[in-house]
Amino acid sequence: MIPVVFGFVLLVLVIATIVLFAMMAELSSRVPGREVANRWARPDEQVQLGVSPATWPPGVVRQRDKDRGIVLVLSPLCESCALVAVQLAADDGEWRDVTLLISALDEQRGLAFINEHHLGRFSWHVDEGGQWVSQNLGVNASPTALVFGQGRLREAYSFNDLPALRAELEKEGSGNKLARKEVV
Amino acid sequence: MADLIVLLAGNAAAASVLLNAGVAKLVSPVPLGRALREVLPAHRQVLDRLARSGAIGRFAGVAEVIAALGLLPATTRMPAAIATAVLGGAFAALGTAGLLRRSVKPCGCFGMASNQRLGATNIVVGLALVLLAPLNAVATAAAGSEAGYEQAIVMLTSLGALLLCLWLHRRAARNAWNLMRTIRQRGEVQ
Repeated sequence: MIPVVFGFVLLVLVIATIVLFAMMAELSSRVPGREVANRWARPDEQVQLGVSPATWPPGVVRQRDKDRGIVLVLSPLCESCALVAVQLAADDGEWRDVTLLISALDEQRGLAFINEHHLGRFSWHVDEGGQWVSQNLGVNASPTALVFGQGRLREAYSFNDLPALRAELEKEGSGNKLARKEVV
Repeated sequence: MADLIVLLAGNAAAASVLLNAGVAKLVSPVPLGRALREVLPAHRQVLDRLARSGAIGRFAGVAEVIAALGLLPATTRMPAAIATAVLGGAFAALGTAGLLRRSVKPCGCFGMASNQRLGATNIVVGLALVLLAPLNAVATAAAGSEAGYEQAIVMLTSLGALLLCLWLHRRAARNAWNLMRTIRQRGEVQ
């Protein structure tokens, strides 16, 4: 009888330990980590706003005539792009209308990036060597978010986190970036 | 004797897994609902409401804990083994759905302890749990005394559940260990 009682007391203690560890894990998941401070999105001052590309790659063209068409420029080579890709893969539909422009050395690497991160459900285009985005818009960095309106580049942001980008997009949502830049 | 050892090992392992999974889901019930919403899009509207309230995770957690504790007394181990097999079947089915739909959301199978998605691991663990019902049915006659079974299974389950818990939370356990060492070293210096 005594070993059975001892066994059950031990089991209760073990269950208490499991509860304790589970609560610690739950609490630590709610505390923003150190990396949160490093999540950012800010207007990209290097990109020339107001330009209207002469040619539009397939996939990107659907953003041309929207009031606010968003293109996210990602690259298989940049670490932040992989983090953004993970966020996109877990997206519930908030970013479903964006187009992904994968700036890669060749199409094969761009496709591998799409497949690796399960981004096939988004509209995407592989920009070989980043030629279109650099020659037409002067974008040489990634991740970059480009906001088009009526065929012109209205806003551009450097970012490394989608929620931070969303906050920045909502802050600058009226398209006043272009107006401000033109006035200056 | 060999039958008893196999039975004890199987039931203790299953009870350890279910205890850790069940308790973790009771503490962190929301991720499971989100993962189900992802792999079962046809039921998205219903799952949306249940996922937000954490009802799915809590229900699964209670079922797992009851099944785990049911494996311990000799008198209830057979029905508990059948319940465990049903749970195992559900895990395997959800794992298959997760694999087919390329699930990306953490399943919360062990609460916030892991970021694992519904997939191959769920299939393997689920199928292993399904085998528990035939194992208990076959070993019923040859398992020996009930008292011997109960004494051993409780100890084995306690040990197994504790080891699995420490492995699942190995980062937190390592951090706690390092913190204790630092505190002790500072105490020695002073």
